[in-house]
Amino acid sequence: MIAYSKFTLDNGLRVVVHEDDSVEVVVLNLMYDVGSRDEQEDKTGFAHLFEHLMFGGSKNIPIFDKPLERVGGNNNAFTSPDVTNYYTVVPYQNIETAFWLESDRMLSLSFDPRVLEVQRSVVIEEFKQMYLNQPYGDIWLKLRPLAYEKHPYKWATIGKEISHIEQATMEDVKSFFFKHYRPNNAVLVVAGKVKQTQVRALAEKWFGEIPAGKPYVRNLPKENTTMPKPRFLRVEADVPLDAIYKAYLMPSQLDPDFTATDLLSDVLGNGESSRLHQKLVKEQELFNNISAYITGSFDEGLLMIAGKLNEDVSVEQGNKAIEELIFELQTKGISKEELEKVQNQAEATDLFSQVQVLNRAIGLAYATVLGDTEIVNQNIQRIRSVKLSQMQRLARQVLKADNCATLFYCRKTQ
Amino acid sequence: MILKRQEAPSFSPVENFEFFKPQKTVLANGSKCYIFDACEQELTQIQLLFPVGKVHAQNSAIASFTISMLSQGTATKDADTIAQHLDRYGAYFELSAGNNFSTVSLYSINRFLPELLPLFCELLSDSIFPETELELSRKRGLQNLLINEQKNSYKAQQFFLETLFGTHPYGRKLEANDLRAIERADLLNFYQNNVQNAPFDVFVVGHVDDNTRHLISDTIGKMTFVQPDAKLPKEAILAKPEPQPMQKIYQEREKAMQSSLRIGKTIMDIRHPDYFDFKILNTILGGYFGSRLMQNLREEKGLTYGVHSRVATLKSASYMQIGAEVRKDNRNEACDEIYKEVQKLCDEPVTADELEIVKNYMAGSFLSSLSSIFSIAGRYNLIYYQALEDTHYDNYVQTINQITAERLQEVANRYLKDFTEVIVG
Repeated sequence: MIAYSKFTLDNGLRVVVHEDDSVEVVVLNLMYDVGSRDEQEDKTGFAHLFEHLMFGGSKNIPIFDKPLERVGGNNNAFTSPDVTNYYTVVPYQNIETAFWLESDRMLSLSFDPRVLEVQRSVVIEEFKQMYLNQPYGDIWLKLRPLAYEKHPYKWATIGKEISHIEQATMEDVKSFFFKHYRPNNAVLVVAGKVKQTQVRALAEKWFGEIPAGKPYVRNLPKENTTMPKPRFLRVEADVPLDAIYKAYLMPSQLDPDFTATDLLSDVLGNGESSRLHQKLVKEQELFNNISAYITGSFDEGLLMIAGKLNEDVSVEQGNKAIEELIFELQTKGISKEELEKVQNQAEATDLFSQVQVLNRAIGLAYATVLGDTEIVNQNIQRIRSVKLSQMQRLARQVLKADNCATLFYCRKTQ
Repeated sequence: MILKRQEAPSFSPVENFEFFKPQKTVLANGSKCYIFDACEQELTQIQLLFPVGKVHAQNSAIASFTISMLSQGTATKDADTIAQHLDRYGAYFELSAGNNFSTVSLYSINRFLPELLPLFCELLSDSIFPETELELSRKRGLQNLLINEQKNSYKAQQFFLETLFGTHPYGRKLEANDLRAIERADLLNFYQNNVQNAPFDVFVVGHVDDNTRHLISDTIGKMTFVQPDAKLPKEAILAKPEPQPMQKIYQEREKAMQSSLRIGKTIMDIRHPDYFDFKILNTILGGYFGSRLMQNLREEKGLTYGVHSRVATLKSASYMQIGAEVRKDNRNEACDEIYKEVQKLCDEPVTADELEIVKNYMAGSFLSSLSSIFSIAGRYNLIYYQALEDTHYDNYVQTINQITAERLQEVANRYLKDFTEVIVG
């Protein structure tokens, strides 16, 4: 159980406090309800580029990191298709520095053209380092547009192509900021050695005067719940092993079937005792490795099966084996012991993830952005209430052959 | 009230504090047991530490294979049975062979420990390394090696260590032939000599309640050791690496978009009086976001997504290394800027302002790195591996605060020269 209290400022900023005096630090986790799904299709990669710009100075403070480092703090941020998250960790006595810095960049950025130029090239190097200059690095650039037709999940967070980042203008930056980086579009979690009363006073003082923005109404193109027919793409690249990626559209995070689908992916491919590993790596020796997992997206997400084939096995042969295994799961079902196993695995994962106060803070922020902070404490109960019959229905529904985008990622033929 | 947003709020530096002290007991079999008990979540990591690693075998793959295959079959259970048993309780093993030490860990929710500890002990007494599992691991190992060798950063790191350490095992790279050469007998031999019935120490980390302590005493504490003397690693292999000539190596890869750089050298031992001051100097150079290298190469010039300088401490050697991935046609510019920053540290004293920032940053990041008992135990690893005093970290903050700009410049002039440089891509 993660204990918390919460309040909302007049400008709409939601604040959650989690007291934990076993640590000597305080975490300020500010999650903005904006991700790459909120981008325009011709200006992708923006939410992430923005994450970089947020460190390039704000209205009253020329540089973000230096004053934070001076008080012993550190920080980082990440961008996903759904949210952009900034966290700062400071020695507890210096909590106010974190409020000062974090509130000033919500008030307004400096919009310094030089910062835009430098961060543009940093992001382009990041694009190359993480996505282009790595074996298999670009699979999400290929897979997303294959799995999604309408929803903005069809482009990757880093962006659809480098040119979008190259073309971003200061006007784009400003309008994105005032549209999404407003208090009423954010959740602040303060966790660690801190008291609720102290947080309330500091939040009022530093964030209270920031004007609310025009409410952002998210109206994204909706994907069909399942794909109408299977999709295939075969690409060749300079990689040593052939690989198969299969993406199945699955229910959104708040759907009552979400957790059961998550457990279904565990039955398929979480750990050495999972079906995919047992059958295709151990028994049939077709794959070097294979696993299944979910993307955990807010909107309709993907249940993924990903594996690298052994050298002498063709992608067609590997794919057929996966499909046969799924067919068996759909027709013969899942045993009670198997369900209990994945429930125990999920419970352990949940518990281990709560050890770090930063993870608890991020969990509270996610739940609040999703609409209900209490979700964070309902995980175990949701895991335990999954029924065998529900998983069997989902095995037929989600793992249907039609509902699958398959990417064959092959070695270049000489 | 009007807020003065241009002015930073007042703050106070982190004060010196005493590092966590694990509770130490000795189990019935003589194992030293270090208990790190401070976790609200009811889970535990039980880690066994063996004073044996990659440097103690002739082939770089033998130790890794032996340790990672401990869970691939025992006298009574095959690999699948073991995997099923673990997964059934949501538990997992972490089996890892380091250079000089290896660790065998079990992570579990406390209430399932009674079902898991007997199996855990079985890995240490009855592993059999089945031929079929060895073939599978070998195949997987070879294929993963193929993938890694395509990465510039992997190759650069490998060349760099090879250049620093020469023929010493620290510089030995893993080659396909090592994997092909392994036989079951090699693993059994390594196991019987170094793991099976061999002495180990224990770290117990997490929510360590009475019940867990009893369980550990009744299982792990009762494992018997034989001929501990015969099983100690050979001192000869632990010799310090010979100094190697500095080198500059460029391996071009035509299709690469980026080049991977490694610049560095071997440095003084952790017990040397200059060691800690050198670490502070390294932090200024490239150990945090505000560092000279990060500010210059990334924030001013946009040459890279990230550049870091770090100090690595092995059992019988230490080295520093600067690393970055940069656009291929910028690689020379990036190297020039790195050397310029290094030279500046030798030529000019660090300003009072920068010194204040780095001191407070280091103290604060030390403090925040201790925010879970698992990370505290991780920090304690260094004390254990290097056989340092338990009080090693007690004056950490105070020691940082004593450093002066003059002293840093002196250390810079003594050590920041004669670098080995490796570029791949």
